[in-house]
Amino acid sequence: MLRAIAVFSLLLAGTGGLASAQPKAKRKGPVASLPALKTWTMDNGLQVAFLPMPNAPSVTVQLWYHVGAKNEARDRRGSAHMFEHMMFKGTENLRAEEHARHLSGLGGYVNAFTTEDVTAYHNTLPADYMDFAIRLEAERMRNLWFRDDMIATEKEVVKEEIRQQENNPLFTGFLRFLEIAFKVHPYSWTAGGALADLDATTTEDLKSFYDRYYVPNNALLVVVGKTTENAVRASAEKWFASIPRGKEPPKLGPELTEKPQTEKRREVVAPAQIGVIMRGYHIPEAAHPDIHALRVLALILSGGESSRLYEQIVRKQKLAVQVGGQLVIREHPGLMMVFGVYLDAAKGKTLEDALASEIAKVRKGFVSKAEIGKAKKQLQAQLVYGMENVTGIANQIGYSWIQRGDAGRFLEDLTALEAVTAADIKRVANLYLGDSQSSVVVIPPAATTGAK
Amino acid sequence: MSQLNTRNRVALLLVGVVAITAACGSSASRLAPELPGDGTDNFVRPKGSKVVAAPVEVDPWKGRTLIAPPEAKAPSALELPAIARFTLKNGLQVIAVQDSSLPVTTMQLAVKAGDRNVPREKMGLAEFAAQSMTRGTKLRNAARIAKEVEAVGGELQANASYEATLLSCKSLSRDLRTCLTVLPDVVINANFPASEIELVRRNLQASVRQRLDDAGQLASAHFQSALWGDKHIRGTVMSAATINAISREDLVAWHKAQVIPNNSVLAIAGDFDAKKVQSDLERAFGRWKKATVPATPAVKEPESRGLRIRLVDKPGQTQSHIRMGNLGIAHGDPDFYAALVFNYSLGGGGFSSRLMKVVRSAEGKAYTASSSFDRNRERGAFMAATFTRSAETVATIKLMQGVIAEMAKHGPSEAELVAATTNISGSYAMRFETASDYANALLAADLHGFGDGYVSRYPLNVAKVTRDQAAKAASRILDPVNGVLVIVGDAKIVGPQLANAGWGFETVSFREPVSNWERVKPADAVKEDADPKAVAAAVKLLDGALAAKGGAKKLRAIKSFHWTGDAELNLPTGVVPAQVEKHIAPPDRFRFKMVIGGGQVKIVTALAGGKGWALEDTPGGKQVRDFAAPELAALSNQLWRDPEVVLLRHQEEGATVRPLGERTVSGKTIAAIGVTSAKSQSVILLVDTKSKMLVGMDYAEQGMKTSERFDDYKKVAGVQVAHTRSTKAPNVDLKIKLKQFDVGKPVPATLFVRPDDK
Repeated sequence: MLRAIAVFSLLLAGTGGLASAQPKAKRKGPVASLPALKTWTMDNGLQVAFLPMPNAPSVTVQLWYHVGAKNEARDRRGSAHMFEHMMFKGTENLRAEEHARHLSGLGGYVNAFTTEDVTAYHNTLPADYMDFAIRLEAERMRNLWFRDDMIATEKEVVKEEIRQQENNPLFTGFLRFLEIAFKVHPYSWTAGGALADLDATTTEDLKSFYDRYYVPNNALLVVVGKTTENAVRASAEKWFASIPRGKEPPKLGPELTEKPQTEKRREVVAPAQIGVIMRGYHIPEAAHPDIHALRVLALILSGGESSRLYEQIVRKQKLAVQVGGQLVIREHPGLMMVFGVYLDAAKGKTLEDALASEIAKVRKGFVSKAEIGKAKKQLQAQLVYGMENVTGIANQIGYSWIQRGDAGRFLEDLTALEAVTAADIKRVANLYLGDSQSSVVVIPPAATTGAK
Repeated sequence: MSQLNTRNRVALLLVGVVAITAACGSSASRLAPELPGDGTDNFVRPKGSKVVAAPVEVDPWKGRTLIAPPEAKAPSALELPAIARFTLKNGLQVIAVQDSSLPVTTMQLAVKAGDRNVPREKMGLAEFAAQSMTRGTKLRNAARIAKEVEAVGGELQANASYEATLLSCKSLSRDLRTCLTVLPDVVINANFPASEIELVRRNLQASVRQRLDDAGQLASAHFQSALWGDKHIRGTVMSAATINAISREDLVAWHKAQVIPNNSVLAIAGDFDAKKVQSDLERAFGRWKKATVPATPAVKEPESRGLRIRLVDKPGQTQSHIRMGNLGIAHGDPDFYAALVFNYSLGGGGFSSRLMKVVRSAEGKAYTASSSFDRNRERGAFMAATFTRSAETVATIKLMQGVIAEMAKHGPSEAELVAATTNISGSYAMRFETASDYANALLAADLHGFGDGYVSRYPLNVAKVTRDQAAKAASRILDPVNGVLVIVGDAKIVGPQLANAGWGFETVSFREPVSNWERVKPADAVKEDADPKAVAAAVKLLDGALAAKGGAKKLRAIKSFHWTGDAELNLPTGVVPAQVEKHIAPPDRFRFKMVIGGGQVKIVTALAGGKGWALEDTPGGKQVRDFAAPELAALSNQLWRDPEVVLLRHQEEGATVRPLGERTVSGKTIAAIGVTSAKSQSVILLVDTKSKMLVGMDYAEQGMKTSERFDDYKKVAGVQVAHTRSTKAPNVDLKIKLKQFDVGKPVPATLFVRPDDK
């Protein structure tokens, strides 16, 4: 259960604000001096990131493919997600679902997910079997077996997943919100997919998707846990080296860049049992330096029950039962969202105005030093809490690579966050959070029949 | 579903927003102490599936040399870190697990009182109290508590489970002082400010409302209610009314009585000074006063009584969410480990489990199917769950029932046993990543009366389970016959499927309260509002109808009725002719016989002297079964509302009459009048206001809405008798033409003797 002290001290060293637990062990020095995270690139272009955690009870082996819903054609929404399913359906040398079953039999578990930017595959298992997990990931990177009956069935399964979302009005409301906020960019849809597009997807479509994106030079192998760099290097070479480098995967064309928004957008959608008002603003891409100030700003607005939105809108004005906010940080320009949950339809308009007014206050620069300090402490603590398990650390590494092209970039975040000032916050608020740049979706609360 | 989690964090946040409101800190990590290793979260997450046109697919990989996994190592006991246990002066027990590898400290307090300890009318009280405790004390108001904790990036959370109330505070270890001050303050000094309570109340109301949009959550809630019933507290689910029934006084009283040190356990884990911890905690919690531990209220386990089916109608659903199961076992049951093992093979082990293989992979009916056991001090539930497109509802249910029955009969195979034991025991140690993981497991074990050995020897105990033990446990615990089945879906699509399957079921609207006692009211609340004049008019009309039927005196004097008739039974396959015969001998005997298809099938139902039986004689064999309590009650209700005598009911002692309006049907004015007996038996009578004839009655029996219609009245021995009758219910569609009607004919006692099975 010993954690990655080395990395962790790295994270804290540059912050100044965060002394170590033991007074004697105060650490100082430059952030980059002790790189516990090892990264390298294999000859075929596969990138590898390894973080040793000698006392962890397990190891996590993850393959991050740089392909997600944003790489889908507008009439093939859901391809990336569909593909994620297919990766479990057997290879030339492995029966359907055997990847999962074999690791399960060793006490491990597997998982996978698809987002707008990435498709990632996780294997977490007792450290003794790391080599086998790496072997299985290499196997499905190249040897997937496309069988028509399997593809037909898998479409049906994915459709069940889509139907599950369709039956929830909060989810459909959110999907509509994305369509309103993104007119051009494929962030306009989620990885879930659409029923009609799935029907139209052919085996050939899927094969070319595989050949285009499931190549070593479009992937990152992340290993975190109880093993050594030599063992990781040996396994990676043994199983991945023979896979040839593929063509460079295509990038999104400039025609898909979202145009700056100049007018407020607003729509009222179908009601749900509870009402929700969502308000979103375009923010820059993950690698943009303004992201740090936006992260601090977002926490000031919505980080917990001492946050502004909660204090003002829930506790003082009693307009909502719950409020929240979320920075949707992505590889390409994402969103900052705030939302309020309410039960009384009559309060909808006031709630909507109140959310706008809290944003307006930040634009005017009414942010105190104490608030900034609190937000920074929250960010620091969250980073440390994220070190508590191997998959949490691997996720940070993976996202750092996908979103910012550098597996270790996240290690520098604390320093950058520490440098954020009140002036920065005012500047980014005025730059990104103008009324004319906002999109609003109102999911009204259904009339309460029978509720007392 | 994990894909959903990560695919769209914002959406999830929106959808999950009410669920995380207990969190005071900036993120909502899991609070409940968890015992890893129940085989449900160690499994492979479902990703793909395989539907084949033919039931048996040729193995496409046949003849290939496939990749084989390395051999799994033999299981070993979990090595525990150093654990300190001590008891503070006020009786608070402490478990301390020190580890400085990360500068984080977590404190978790478990108070041994939860939903299990609240009155059902105030279900939600434990959760309400937990959420309110972090929102105001004698020293700090809600805003200040939030600010103090969040200023150091800490997380303060409180919520209640079935057995316990859990409060936790986590921070970087240099800010441990914050947790050491704030956590004791909310535990000891919570003062439940009115404005904050109302905020919590609205929040809880929102979570109840939100449940209506989430068919899966709704299905699980209805499963709980249907399985445990009204007499066990587990059968009650928090509702708008129970939340509103909770007052500030209730919260204060709960806090005073239940939140006491000598009924609580505190775990502290992570980076702290081991030498000082006891004195620090003594100082922090010293003012918390010992008190008498309140008695835990008794609960009554529901009786086995056949398969009960509830269809929760949610119009517009394109998928049905299905839950089925029966009473399971207690955590301390000798078969606990054996149950873990067979359940992994049944539905706990993802792709390694049969439910997944059959329901999803082989048949392609559903995205996922699983099964699980509650792990509680007392007996919990066994439940299997899935969701499927509406058209496949009953087919999927039948598949799952088959899989469960098969497991009950033969247990897991040798290969399945190995897969289960290696996964559960092999993955166990991986779950212990931080000191707090150990502390959580020890705390959870402690709540159920287990010690350190339980946590450390768990993998060995799982590995020890033999195939024979697993099979015996499966046969003892799985009970496909006596259980409940809940479906949340569109009744328009699912109802006919259930009826076609020949299953009796009750239908409940998704908007109705979940708990039986809240939904099934003896008579409607309308009663109180009824205009006395209208009630008097309704009574008068019923008196008139009774007189027209033949008069109270005459009807009461008749010892028996007997009739025979020709019937048409409308089955999904077509209309089938039948002969029917009924004997009615008030007040407690009746017998109904139906011969279908020219004598191929004979069905007899009889009730006499509080006992009842049914005979089914088909080409496949003869079967006699005895009715259990709820069915007997239903039969006796049927006798109570038999059309020959039902017009006597409104004059009986304790009966209430409720006018429900009039409507015009084919030029006739029909009055609807509700009649409820002192014993809460009820019926809606439809009376032709001009002829005074009873033209129909509507009622619900075991939740099933039933309509009977009467026509073609003829006088027999001074009594008006309807000679054509029809009955419609979700699972019955029957038309009868009477051929013969006898009044006062002696009823031979032999008619009611239970035949033997041959």
